[in-house]
Amino acid sequence: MHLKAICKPLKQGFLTKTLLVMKLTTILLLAACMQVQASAFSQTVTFSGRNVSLETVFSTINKQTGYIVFCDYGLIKDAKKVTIHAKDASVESIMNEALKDQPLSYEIVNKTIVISRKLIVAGALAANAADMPPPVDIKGRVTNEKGEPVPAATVAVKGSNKITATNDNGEFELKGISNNATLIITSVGFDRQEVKLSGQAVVNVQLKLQAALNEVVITALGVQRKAKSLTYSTEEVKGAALTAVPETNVMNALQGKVSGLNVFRGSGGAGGSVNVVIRGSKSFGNNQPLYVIDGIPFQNNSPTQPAGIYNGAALPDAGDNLSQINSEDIESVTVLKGASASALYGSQGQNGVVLITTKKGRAGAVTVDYAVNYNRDTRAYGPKLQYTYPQTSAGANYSWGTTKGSYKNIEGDFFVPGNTWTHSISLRGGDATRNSYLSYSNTNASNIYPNSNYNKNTFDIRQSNTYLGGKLTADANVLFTEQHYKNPLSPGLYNNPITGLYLFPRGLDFSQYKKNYEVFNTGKNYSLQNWWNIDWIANPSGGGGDDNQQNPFWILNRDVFTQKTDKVYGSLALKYVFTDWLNLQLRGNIDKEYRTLQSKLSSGTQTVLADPLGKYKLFKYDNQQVYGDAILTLNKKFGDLGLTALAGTSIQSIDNYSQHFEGPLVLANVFAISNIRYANLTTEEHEYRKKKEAVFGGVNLSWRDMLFLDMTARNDWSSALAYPLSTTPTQSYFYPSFGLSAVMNEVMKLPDYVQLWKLRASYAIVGNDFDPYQTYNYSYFSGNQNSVYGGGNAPYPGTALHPEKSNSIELGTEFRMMNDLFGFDFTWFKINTKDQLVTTPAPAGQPFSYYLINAGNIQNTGIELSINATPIKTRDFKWDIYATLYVVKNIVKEFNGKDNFVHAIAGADNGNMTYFGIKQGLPFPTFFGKKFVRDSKDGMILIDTGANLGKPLYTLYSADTTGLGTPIPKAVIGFRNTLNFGRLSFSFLVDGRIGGNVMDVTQAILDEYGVSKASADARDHASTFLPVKGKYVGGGTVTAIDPKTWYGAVASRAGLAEYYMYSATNIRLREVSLAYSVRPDIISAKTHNVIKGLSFGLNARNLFFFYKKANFDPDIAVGTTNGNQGYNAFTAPATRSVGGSIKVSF
Amino acid sequence: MKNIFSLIFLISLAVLQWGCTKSFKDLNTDPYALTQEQLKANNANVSAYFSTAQQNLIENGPWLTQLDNFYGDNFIGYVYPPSSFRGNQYPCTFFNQDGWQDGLWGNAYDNVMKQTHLIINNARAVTPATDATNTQIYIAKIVRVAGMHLVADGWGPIIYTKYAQPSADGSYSYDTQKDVYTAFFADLDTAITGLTALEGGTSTFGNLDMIYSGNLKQWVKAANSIRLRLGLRLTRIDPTTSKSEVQKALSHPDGVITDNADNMHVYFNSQLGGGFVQVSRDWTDERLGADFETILTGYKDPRLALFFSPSTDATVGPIMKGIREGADIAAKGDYVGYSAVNVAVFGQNPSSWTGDLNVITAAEVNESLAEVSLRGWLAGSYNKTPQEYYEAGIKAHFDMYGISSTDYNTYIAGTTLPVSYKDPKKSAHNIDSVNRVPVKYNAAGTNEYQLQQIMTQKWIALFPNGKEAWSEWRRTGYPKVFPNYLNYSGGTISTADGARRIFKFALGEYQNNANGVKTAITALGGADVGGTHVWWDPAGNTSNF
Repeated sequence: MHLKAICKPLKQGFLTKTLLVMKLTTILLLAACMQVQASAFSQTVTFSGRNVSLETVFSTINKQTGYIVFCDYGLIKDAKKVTIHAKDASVESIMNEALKDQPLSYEIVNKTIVISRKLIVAGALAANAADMPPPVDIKGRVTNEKGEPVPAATVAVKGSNKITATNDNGEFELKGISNNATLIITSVGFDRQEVKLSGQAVVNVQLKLQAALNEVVITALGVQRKAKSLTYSTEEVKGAALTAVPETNVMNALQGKVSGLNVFRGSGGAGGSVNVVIRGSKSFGNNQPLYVIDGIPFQNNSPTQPAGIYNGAALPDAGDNLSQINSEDIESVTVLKGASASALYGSQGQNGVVLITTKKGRAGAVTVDYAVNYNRDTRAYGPKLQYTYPQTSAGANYSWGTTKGSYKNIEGDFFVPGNTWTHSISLRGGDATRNSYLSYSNTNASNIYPNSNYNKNTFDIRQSNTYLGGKLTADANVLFTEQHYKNPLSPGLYNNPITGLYLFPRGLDFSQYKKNYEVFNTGKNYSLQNWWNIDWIANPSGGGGDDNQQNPFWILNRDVFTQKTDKVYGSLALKYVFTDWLNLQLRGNIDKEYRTLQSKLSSGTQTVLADPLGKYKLFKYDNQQVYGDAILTLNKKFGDLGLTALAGTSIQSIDNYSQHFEGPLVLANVFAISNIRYANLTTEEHEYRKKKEAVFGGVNLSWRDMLFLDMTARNDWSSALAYPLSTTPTQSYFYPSFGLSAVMNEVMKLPDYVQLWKLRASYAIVGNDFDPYQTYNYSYFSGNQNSVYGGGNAPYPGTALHPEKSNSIELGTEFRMMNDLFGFDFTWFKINTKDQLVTTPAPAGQPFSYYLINAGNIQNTGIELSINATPIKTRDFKWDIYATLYVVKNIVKEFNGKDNFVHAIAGADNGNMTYFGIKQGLPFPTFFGKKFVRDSKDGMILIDTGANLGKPLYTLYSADTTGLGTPIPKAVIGFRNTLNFGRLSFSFLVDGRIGGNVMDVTQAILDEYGVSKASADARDHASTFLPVKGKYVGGGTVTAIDPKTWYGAVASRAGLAEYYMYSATNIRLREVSLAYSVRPDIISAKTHNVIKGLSFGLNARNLFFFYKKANFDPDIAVGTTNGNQGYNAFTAPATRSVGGSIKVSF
Repeated sequence: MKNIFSLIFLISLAVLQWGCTKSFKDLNTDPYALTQEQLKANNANVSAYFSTAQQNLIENGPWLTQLDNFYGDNFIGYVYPPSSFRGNQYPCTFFNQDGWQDGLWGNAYDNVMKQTHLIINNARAVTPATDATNTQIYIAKIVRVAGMHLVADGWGPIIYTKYAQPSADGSYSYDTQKDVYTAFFADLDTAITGLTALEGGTSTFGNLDMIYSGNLKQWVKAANSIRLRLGLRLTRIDPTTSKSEVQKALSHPDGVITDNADNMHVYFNSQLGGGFVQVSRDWTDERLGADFETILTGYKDPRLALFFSPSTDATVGPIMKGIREGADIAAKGDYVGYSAVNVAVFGQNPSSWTGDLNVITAAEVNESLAEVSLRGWLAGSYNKTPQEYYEAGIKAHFDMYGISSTDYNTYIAGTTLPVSYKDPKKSAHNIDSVNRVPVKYNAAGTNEYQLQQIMTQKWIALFPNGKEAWSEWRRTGYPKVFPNYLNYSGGTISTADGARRIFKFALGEYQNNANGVKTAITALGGADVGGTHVWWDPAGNTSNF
């Protein structure tokens, strides 16, 4: 292939420039591909010409060397003709000669010569090389006003392309620069500073903190905006605050650090998924926010979630994609809380957006950072069990014996300390045009029970290059993660090791079941489960036993669940700056993920949970997301009026394919699809396909930098709204947002110590689509059963489904004073989410089971307050406080026009203690369940007499119309303190949730079995046991109730829900960390400059509660879906974690 | 200029977007799901719904089996749960548990009514109509009646003739039970007439016919037998129709099922059939009932040991021990050692969960013929005495389980009476026997006495089809069963009346078909509570003759 110099006579203008950029991009890519081929060309040029045009010279260079010369024809059409005679000259010398007296300069990038107008600068570059002063080498250090080092500050030499960045100690080095050069030092959050050299070899620079007014924040789509121009609330958390106390899923580290955000931890332990809810649950469907990595939406799949207390048929929490991110790769996390902030993301941003900005390479010498963390987890809060009363009678399930004794506490025989090791290493470096960030991390964690572990390897390659003299920026990122996950604890009654542990009849010998969880069966020639009530000799057909307990060690060794996930994520972002006020950005990514989940249930497993010869379940997922967007941004001032505008389009295509095979085995314990009995083989094949296209635009007008008007508009087209079998009502939805803000300290005269007082207001409408294939009725076919299944759902006859709609209003104010020694940010919001997609049972009179309708109106009103304060600040000591408060009131304003019915939501199980329902006038979701019957006058609980003496009267849960509370807290507080004593930094986070209710199914079952401490205490004081204030039905105060009668009536998996409801209010010391960094000059001197930085840290998480009512950690949910929050059903116990870390820089 | 450019840029993108949404309909079509078009290939849209319909004629799978235990099996003393669900406040103690009975309602509508509706509708759409598709329509009608009469008998009014035909307000009206019965007989007429004419051919369901493998003559026999069952159901409310329907069934040249070879039963080679075993063995939620224990023990009935295993509770000893209906159980552990279902019979091979669900058998039909003979309503070629049919029914049932003729001969000569119930754990449960008739047939007894003997054997023969046995008990009052020990009905079910009389309409119907439920309650003619009687079981009428 032969490339010509492309100096074509083009009319210089807007359109042509755009085309040029596109062409340029293509050519750059081509050029990169052609490098190997280009090496066949000569590296030198031979040229002889008199008064020839530059075009001729460039053409010759191209022919002889393969170098492409790139320029705007306008630049060279009037250039002077040149005379050059050269033999075997370098490209550079020919170019120097050709452009000697021209107002042009050039740059060679990857065999591409880019011609640009020569910069006329105060520096010395324009001068003749002969006039240049001798080059010098300089060193320096950049600090802030407190003298602390500023890492990652950019140090550039004005007028040249020499550039570097400071290391973690704020130090930099520049070689071979002019001794009177001017250095430009920039760093995020600081004012830009220029330093003119005058021969010195050491340059120490102190940067000034940027005035609050000019701070830049990242907003939707990755657009950087001045903080003061925002009309809505955002909040940022720096990466360092997320890694100080490590978490395997980094989102867990957000709890208490952002107001308006609440994290519910899944039950899976290390690597488990999280449920993040911003400004309360708003949708009957999904309430998770959109996650965005470097501007590109990130698919957060969580393929399996536990389903209620009978989870045995399903699978444990298989984790989500967020857990695959290496927290050390994160630069910062910004939370866009309201719809106004996220309006540009469209429907996906309805629940708020979590923007994750990852680390980039930085200019300067290569730095290598290595960090190692070790954490040791121990069981923090288990249920209180009894070891004083024995099994009711030989062979009985219960431990309701009455003769007091003393039995061994067996919890210690099962729980072990969990260990988490995380190693991460990263390399960063680059120059003015090329920056790289490479990282690798490994996390290896074991849970607090045996044979359960989690292993993760991540690779991240980030390359940021600039071309065309800084006009074109390319940013590429490739992330590869592989993850293995074994035996996360499955909550609920089935296949859960802790049920057997807790319920084990007191007085039997646990050690023999620990020692031999299986015994060899000579008839079968393999080993079968050994458990106190499972006996394969006496019951050869099924072993016997109960569905809700097995040998814990059998479950972990012979009913093994594993997951393996590989993820590749690649993205490329190109940004071309036309002028200082106009740029175009093109971005795209491909996100690929492969997951394999396997559940291997061995023969000998209790027969409810697996078939007698064993059961095999295999799930395969092949998920893909392709995303692309183009955004044109304009930023210009017209006198007092400033205009920022953007227009763009995006396309997102999701294609998630899955397969599922499941069935009983033919040969015992051979876990292969081919060994599943065909007649009972369950197969499923699904593909979730959805494509969304959008155009959007936004305008932000400012007047004198004091008044701002913000408007956005977006139109989405979603394939999920298409009607394949009928006419299309609409596939498109439009929604706008408006916002206003005023910087009051500019509007009016305020005391000097007030840096910022801002008022803001915004209103936004966001639409939301739903999952694909909802707009028509479809069913599946089972070949081996020769039958049609599914097909029970359909849109309500005669109606078309339309997108759900959320309206939100937000008012806020922001205040900062005394150089940020004190500041606060306050927001009030009201969000109404209407027309949600609801599945409602269809009448029996027609061939559908469920109808899909648009219904409902959930209203969330609340406030958010964050306060930062620095009570003490001296030269060596500083105390910073960051406090957050978030109060939300959630209510279902309307549901389907039917006031008196409680609609069960997904995951609700009518056979159990309670269920989650939706009812007008109550919060979403609300627990409904059985309640005590109370005397209408004095409120005393009514206790039955006669045959039921001692049993409380209770109402049905179907009769419950007022509910038993909601798991959603009324308020969430966070109180983070950082104390700096020179190089020692100490920080702690206290956080709390106020209000909300949780239910403890575990306690109800432990009481039923007589293994809870409560049941022993009751027996200890049987003659005075009075669990509630009650009176007999016929009258008469109750003075004592027989413990066994009482628990027989209220306990069990279908117990009296009201008795097992607890306040979810809790306040805890969530995080503590202590870090010390060794003085860099000392460490460098001692290691001969090999080690440049060294720091040590100690950390602890979940140390203790200041206040807690529930018997378990109320933050932990059975699963992350709407129906699986707020109750404990043998979920893994909460852990307390203590650890340390070492960070070294080379 | 710049802004104009932006505008053009935006508009052109918008146009581009519009163009791209053309593929959206394809994208929003599930590639692995079925379309009705695909199902039309080889008329699969007719045949593919047949498996599900057959498999759900009788509740199967552990969850539905458990509901059957709560609603039916325990009312007539077959089995009783040792689990004291909800502190004994649950359907077995007549406590109304909203929502629980909906599973039985939903299963019938989702898996029998819907599937047969689709078979019939799709087969009618096949043009030109062929014998093959007509056969499918007739068989679907028989299956629909066999499945839906259990619903009609439990709830009274149901949605049947107006299925898939909404009223102007979008609701679905219920038929009175009388109209439903008329419709059942009409459906059977159509099916029997149609199939009789086509008897030379075979069913085009082919190997999907899990019941008769395509033998149309057997389908006609089954239809006649169901007509006999439904005809007898009307003895109290409408003896004229009852007699004419019974005689219509007997007069048909193919007759009714009197031979085990013609039994209408669904054989499963899948997990579906194992419900009975799973609930009893694995969930330990089902044990022998006091009535079944005392009557069969008194009769020295060899079937007791076939259906149940001896107690494993040390305080009881290795004997057959059942739980009193409506027992007051403090904790599950107390009664879990009582007699469990015999796995060897009800889940022959535990590794395959095979099972056999009987819809209607020769044993039941022979006992019905005994009653018909007693009433003097015999027709067609049927001319034996009540005793002959009574004993033939016992023989047919013994043969089903391979019990020897010697045992049979001893059994039918048995003069012992049912024993009293004794609960070793709670003497308050003890009660003297109430069904005081022996096995040995007393042809000289009163009609009521003979009927009590016949109905007692029919009750044993129907095991474990509790819903049908419950209907026959409501119709005749036999066998006499123990009154519930606990009655948490709040006065809506009288303990003296013996048992619940109807199921409450489904919660989902109250929510989503409110106007429809209004028609249902009008049609019921009483409050929607457990003590209200259905049409064919008129309250206050206790005489069978």
